[in-house]
Amino acid sequence: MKPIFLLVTFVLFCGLVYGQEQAGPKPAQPASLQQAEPATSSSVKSAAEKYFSDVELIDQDGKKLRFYSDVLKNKVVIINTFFTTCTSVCPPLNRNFEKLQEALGDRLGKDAFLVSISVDPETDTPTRLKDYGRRFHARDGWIFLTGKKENVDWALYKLGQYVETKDNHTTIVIIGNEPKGLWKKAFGLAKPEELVKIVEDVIADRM
Amino acid sequence: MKKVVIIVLIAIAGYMVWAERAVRSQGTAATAPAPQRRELTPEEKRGKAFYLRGETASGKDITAVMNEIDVPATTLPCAGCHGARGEGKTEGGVTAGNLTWSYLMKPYGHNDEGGRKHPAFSEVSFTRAMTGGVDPAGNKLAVAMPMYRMTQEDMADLIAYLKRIETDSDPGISDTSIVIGTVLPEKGSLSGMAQSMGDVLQAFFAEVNSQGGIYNRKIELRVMNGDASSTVSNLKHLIDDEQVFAVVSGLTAGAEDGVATLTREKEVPFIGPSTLLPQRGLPLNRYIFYLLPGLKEQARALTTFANKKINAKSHVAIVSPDLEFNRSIAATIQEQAKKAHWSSVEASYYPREGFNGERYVDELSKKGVDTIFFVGSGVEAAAFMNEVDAIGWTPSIYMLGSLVGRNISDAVSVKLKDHTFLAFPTVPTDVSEAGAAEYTGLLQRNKLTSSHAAAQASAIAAARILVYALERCGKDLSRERLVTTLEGLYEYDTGLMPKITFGPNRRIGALGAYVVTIDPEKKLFPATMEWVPVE
Repeated sequence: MKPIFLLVTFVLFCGLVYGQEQAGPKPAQPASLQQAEPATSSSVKSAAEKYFSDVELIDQDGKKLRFYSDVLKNKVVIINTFFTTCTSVCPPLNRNFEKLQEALGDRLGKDAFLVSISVDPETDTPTRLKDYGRRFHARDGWIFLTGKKENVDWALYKLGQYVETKDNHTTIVIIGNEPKGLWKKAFGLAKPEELVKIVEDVIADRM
Repeated sequence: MKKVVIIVLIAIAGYMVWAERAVRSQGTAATAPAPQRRELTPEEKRGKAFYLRGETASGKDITAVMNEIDVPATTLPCAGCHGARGEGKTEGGVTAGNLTWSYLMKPYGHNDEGGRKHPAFSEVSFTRAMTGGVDPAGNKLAVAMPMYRMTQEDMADLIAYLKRIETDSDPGISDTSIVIGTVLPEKGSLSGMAQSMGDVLQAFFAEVNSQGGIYNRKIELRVMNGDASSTVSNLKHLIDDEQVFAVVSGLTAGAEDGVATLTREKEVPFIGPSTLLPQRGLPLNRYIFYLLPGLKEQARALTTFANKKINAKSHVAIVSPDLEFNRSIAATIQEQAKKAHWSSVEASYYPREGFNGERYVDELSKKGVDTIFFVGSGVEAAAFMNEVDAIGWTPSIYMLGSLVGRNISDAVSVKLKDHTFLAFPTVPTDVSEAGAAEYTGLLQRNKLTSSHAAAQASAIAAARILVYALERCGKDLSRERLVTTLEGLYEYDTGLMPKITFGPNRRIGALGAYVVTIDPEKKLFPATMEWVPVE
């Protein structure tokens, strides 16, 4: 069998595909999402907003962020999953993110955002995330996310990255251009220059 | 500095007074010979340093190359993926194989999960895998496996260690024993307490041993006595020379910094050190597990409690002696007050000698103060309370029981009883019937006397937690496993103190404090009490 390190990239989901059920385990829907929608919503929710939802997450500075509106909306995002006590694949995964950060230079935080989501939110407090980010010289524009477990699980689920045990988290990087609805997946341990290429394609909205 | 140490020790004695019971004599403390364990050869030792941490003896960095990115081997050491014992593990869909030499050498070779097949490794093909990224059949290794640029000498060290890894264990463990250390200064004011704690520790472990020990290993307790000023060097001796596996209980107050640094550096678990100042700096020291809250945690619980009674009109005063130790507690209260947005908070510091209660009471009452945090000693607190009572003033008064001691109850008048709040790390009702029975039983069976009962109780609690965690670790014991097992402890009841919970971010078992009020008619026990957790 051909090993998987041949970079697999493909369109993950776009436009009409939002809302499709994920295969595999599904976490419970957070209570905050189960309330009825206010009837007089001034703006009509986009498909993406409905799909991803606005669960509350917390970044490395302890700031509360809404998943869709603050993390994804109108941005190009490069997302991986990790946990701070992981000693095996997470360090190289985030080392690759550090390389992406270098490659993006001043464009980080403008043209694209790096987003690392913890799969162990109960352990990974904002302080731990902050400390972890320092190890990879993370700058503004690279955010680390934790939060209530049910919220983080839901966000991960919507990205197809929900796992029941933290050791099962994937090494997949998701690169999305939210306004254009272009989403790609890449192997997180690929060579940085290959990742950069995909990121550039997504920024430029090239399939 | 010396003064601080003394205050800390007195304070410990202060809160330890909350529990009483039975009888005691002299226990014997025989020291058995060091456990049989073949030392690592210098070659194996160097290999181990590289395996676990990516370090080399020369101090020269080895480079790990992954996807053409160079990183120091210290970021990607073997043990990170393959495990501290070389057992291999799977994470993120990436399987890091078993690296024990006997496995690598299996004559029939390997069929890896990904479908990769290859014959057994040899030293030559192993070297090729490490440096060239191919298995003995010439297949490329998984992408997550870096290639290491290393010298032949470093490689020889690593191979020597992999041949030994299966039989290597942490210091202090043999097939028949686990060596545990404790530091109990016997000189000065502490001698009696040290002796009492040492006796119950010996007795407790002797009973565990007589019931078969832990997976057929007997616990051997090494006690370092000596002077309180040599706590750190005593601890170092236990770790380096006596090769203890872990440290339990003991009297280490006054040496908090040194103890914390040493356990972190040597990666030795320390369960239940007695201190009023747990070290909680970040990054977290993974190796120290405190059972009870320190003074700062208690001060935080007290402010959390007070917050319910404080409103926009409240006028808060913090009164503290002008001593570094007390000021640091006053600062904690100020910090909390700021976080809670209390509108009016003032702090005043009186000279260490000659506290003038009358003057303070006069001044504060005229200013319209209605809430007081008193951070001084018991004598000063009593003088203060008497003056407050004398002028018929009834502000809310908050104090740390560990600082003022239990005799403060004599100063709580009927008028002030509903206005005086004391924080304590533990209260008499924490001692369950079973806990009390175990304590008295242990003393009776071993012909020991109850003396410094609270100190003895804290020693037994620490020993119980250690034994419980060791049992849960299983036969394949390591320091790392002990630490992660302790992190999983949830509401563990020692029967002698509040329930103990640890976690990856939590190193104080009972994180909070009781806030109690005193009934002047029944001084011994709290009139009301509430456990206030802190985050």
